[in-house]
Amino acid sequence: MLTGTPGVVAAAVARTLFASAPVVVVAGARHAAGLAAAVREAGRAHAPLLLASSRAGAGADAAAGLRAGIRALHPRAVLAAGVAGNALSAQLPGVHVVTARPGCP
Amino acid sequence: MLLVHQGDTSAATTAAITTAHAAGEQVITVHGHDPRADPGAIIALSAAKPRRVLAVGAGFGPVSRLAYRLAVAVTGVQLPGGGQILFPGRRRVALYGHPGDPALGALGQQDLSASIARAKKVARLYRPLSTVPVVPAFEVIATVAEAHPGADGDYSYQSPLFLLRPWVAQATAAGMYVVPDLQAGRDDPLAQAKRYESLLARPNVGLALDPEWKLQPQQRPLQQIGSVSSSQVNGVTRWLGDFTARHHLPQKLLVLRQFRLSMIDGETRLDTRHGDLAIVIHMDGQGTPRDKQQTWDAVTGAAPPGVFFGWKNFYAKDHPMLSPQDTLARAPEPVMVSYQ
Repeated sequence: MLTGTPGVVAAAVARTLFASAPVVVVAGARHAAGLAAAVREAGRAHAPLLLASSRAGAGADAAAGLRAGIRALHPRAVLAAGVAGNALSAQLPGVHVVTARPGCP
Repeated sequence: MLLVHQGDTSAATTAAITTAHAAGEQVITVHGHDPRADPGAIIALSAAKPRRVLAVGAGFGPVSRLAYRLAVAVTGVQLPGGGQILFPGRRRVALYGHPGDPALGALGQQDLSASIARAKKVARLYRPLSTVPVVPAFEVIATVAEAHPGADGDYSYQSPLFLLRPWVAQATAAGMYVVPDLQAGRDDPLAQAKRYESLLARPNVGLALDPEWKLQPQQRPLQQIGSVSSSQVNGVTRWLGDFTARHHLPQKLLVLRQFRLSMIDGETRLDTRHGDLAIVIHMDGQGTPRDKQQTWDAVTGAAPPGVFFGWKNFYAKDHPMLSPQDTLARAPEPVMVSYQ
């Protein structure tokens, strides 16, 4: 049973179904257009889809949870769809964050 | 396998479905939150026999309850009319009586094949009127109240299994539900129910208790209206619910007949929380429409939360007998209608 914030649920599904993934797609949980694009990208790349909280005041815990969720999958690249790639990149030193698929492995 | 609620378009569920597809996992959408209520989900779960299921959303919880429901769903066994839940998504329309005895009701007024045809014909009358599928049924008096004590002194004739089996088997083959009815006399209703365990093991067989014919130790039949206590009924519901759960059967019907409130002593203490059972308080009163409505109002008004309601029409003793339209105009709408 998976309950909690969208980010927690998405990370739990990914962690359960993937031991690792070369590409992880991250979308904003409240950004409909970005989410739709992320679904397409994840489908093309056979990649798990994680969610970043875009809610104001989501806090450090949510960001830390997302980072942990991404790191658990040992990706070589993170595709940011509808979230700020720069901010995500700053939070994930050593992980290649891109905003377009050609940048993915 | 991923289980999601049909129509859930939240970001969490969207992400979960996307990730599941990327991982090559099967995704099953469930109409509602109980997979037993969704015929399509039952078929998919039965075919997949998943070793691991992830369910998204608190609506499916708690975990132990969902795990049990999934264990029932993967059996793939469905009730007549589909699914593994009786109500409110289906309506039963039944012929009541005892095989071979025309005096005890419509079911015994013709042979088995003709009874099946008659039950289906009566059920068909309700199809255009019902917002949910209508399933034909038999209510078979399994233990019959007697004027004489009999060899065992309990004033209750217990039909042998060999008499009932053909009725259950052919009704099953015809897509019907079957409800053995207990008129226990001085016997214990639970002990009587256990004697029909082999019939109750079938997914389309429920159970009915008729308190009118339950006697206290010094009572004789036809000198009073009988009654059961809530603790006696709870004993039966506990056993029947556990039996249903142990065999991973679809939800099972328990009918309690009532036309006087005194027939179920301590009714508010009835335990209606068994998820494996659907309890129907069956209004068993006869007479004019006005008399019956008064009985209906009293019976439905006194019932504890968590039960459904059934209505009986009497071919000979109602004056006049309600039409199907008028029967379904009752409030609350009966989920089960019987014809005696």
